[in-house]
Amino acid sequence: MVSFRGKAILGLFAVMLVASLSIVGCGKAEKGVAQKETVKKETTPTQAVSTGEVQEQKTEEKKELPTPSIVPITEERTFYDFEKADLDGWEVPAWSEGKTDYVAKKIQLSTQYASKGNSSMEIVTDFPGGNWTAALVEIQQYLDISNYRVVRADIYLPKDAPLGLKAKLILTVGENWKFVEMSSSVPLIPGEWATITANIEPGSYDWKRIVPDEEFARDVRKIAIRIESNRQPKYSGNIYIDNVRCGK
Amino acid sequence: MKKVLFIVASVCILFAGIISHAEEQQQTVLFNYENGLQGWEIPDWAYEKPDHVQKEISQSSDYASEGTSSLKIDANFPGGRWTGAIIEIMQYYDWSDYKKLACDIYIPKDAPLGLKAKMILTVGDSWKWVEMSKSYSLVPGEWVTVEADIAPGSIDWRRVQVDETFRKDIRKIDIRIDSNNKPAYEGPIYIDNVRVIK
Repeated sequence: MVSFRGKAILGLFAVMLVASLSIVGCGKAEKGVAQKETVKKETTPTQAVSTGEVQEQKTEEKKELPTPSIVPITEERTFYDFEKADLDGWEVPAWSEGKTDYVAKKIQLSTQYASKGNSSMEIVTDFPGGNWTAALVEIQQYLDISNYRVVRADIYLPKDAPLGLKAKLILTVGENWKFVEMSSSVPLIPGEWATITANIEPGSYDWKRIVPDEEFARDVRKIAIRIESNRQPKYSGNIYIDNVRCGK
Repeated sequence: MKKVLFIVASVCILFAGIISHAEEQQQTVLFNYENGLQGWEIPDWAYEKPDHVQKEISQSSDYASEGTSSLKIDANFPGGRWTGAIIEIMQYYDWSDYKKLACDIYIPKDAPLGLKAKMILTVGDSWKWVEMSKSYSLVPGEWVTVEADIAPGSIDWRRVQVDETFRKDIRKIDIRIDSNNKPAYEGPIYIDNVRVIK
């Protein structure tokens, strides 16, 4: 029905349509989609990275340790009161024997002074002065004290002792038996009981070269108390420790 | 005068008897080894471990903290590494009425300083192995009492929150003597008077 001339026009029209479409870029359009996808694919990891960064930031935010509470300590539990017939495991450690800078000669129970009850642990010391020296006593005991916020101990220096001695608590914690000292010492005043307090909560700044995390107080393996003379004073006499406790 | 002295002496003896009886009631001796080992043994697994150095156990009348005999462990601690000598008894106990578990340990005068001892309990349905949180230093020539609080809230046990159920279902008692690198010691160790205290 369609004449040859009509068919030729239709054919020409079809060829022109195809040509025009190809000029407009319909064929490239698919390529463009593919490129877009490629771009998407390229951007996806980037987005993932940035999302990851955000997550990391969030994790870091989560990792940020809380600030220790400033609420007063209202409950205490005494772990060592030295009221029994023995020292309950406290000792001058074997490693300090024979070391010239460690000057605790022996320890024993005493009824001379007590901050709680009738007796305390007496350390016989001999600080020569002139060098850094220390008297250290410790107990090796596995403890989970994560339910508490502070560790405390009372220390007494007799009236006739000189000024200048300082004391600190030291914990040994975790699988690696990490030796963790308090970041500061407490000055001892002759004739008075001094209380050393160290915060064991996550985020505490009471410890040297470590900020406690949640695990810190969960695996305590030793508690030590060290009394130091940093070149001065010179002192030969007794020091008393009592009421080693935790508080919350 | 003689009558007065007799009455005073009688009253003293009576009071002493009452006090002694009261003290006896405060504790229950679980094992005194007067009639043998009473079921104590070296656990099979300990024979296979090179760091466990107990050789054999026997009843002995060499030393006793109560009565005339005790349990003797022959051990050989080589020194230079951690080694332990362990003995145990498998027996179910409910110690809800008691607050402490204790035993006496003796090493001869010629033994070195440095050996330490602790008790270990196996507790509950999961047969949880619970060591004491601290060890007691043994003193050559002296009986040393190893004692642990078993009441709720006790800090004397490692990696466990001691509550009322802890002392209710005891399944094994172990006693272990350790040498941590030192000392080296080959010889006997004596154990006596394993008891629970109210």
